[in-house]
Amino acid sequence: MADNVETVRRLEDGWASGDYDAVRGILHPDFHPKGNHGPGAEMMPPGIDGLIEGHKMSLGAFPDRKQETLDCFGEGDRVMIRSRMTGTNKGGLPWFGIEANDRPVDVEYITIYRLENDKVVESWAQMDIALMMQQLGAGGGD
Amino acid sequence: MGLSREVMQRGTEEFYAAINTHDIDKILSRMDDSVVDHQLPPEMPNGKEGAGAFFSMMFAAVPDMKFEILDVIVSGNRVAIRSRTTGTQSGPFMEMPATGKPFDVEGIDIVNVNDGELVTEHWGIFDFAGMMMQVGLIPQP
Repeated sequence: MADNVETVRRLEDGWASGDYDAVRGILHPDFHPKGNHGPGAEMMPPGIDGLIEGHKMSLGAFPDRKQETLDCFGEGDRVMIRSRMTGTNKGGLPWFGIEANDRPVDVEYITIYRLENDKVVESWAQMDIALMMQQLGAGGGD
Repeated sequence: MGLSREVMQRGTEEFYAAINTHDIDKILSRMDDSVVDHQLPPEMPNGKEGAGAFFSMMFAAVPDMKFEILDVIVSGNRVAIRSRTTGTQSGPFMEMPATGKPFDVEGIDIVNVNDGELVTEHWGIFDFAGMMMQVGLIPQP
């Protein structure tokens, strides 16, 4: 059995490089994401397809999108990973009412994954959307 | 050296119990004097002073604020906690007016503790956007 922390690191590397085959190879077909997977994620279809659609929309908004793993540890069937996403709003986030404005974003997100037999079956994520909206110049009480 | 799984679990539960009393001194007593908090807004001082100011602001905005631990992941002297926060925003929040409306959101925190069971470093993401949307301070997307 593979090490769960290594499996989750490979999953995040798959997202970072847009390698959807790698992502599909690690996520269980019945995978269920929960929590804040980024702006607009709740409008996506459920499961893996929705996450990939969300990732493509994120790439549309931030064509120079980069993500890096900052921290990762696990216990038993669960792994937490903290990541950073940076990019420039060149494509706009229409589902948030934000047009392309060349503003840079630099936000962190933390995800907890649950694995069964080397596959990710469940996840809970929190992205700092309040900060991202502030960086994009939208809402957040301005 | 290092704390046991049992001590980490108990310490985590005690820390959240202290938060739920809204007793700032009790909360700060669980932090090392050199604590570094990566979640604090940049305009706030860091360390215990900033943590105290942050909790004061939150408890004033949400006097019935309660945290519930949903998941605990321990690795050595490090712990990741997923929690649920409920409350009513009955006070001003970050210069925005009181709404009197309830919210129910989640957050994930990462905490390092020393062998004296004091918090030395903290990272966290709290769903402020979800909270502000649910109480109506910012529009739903």
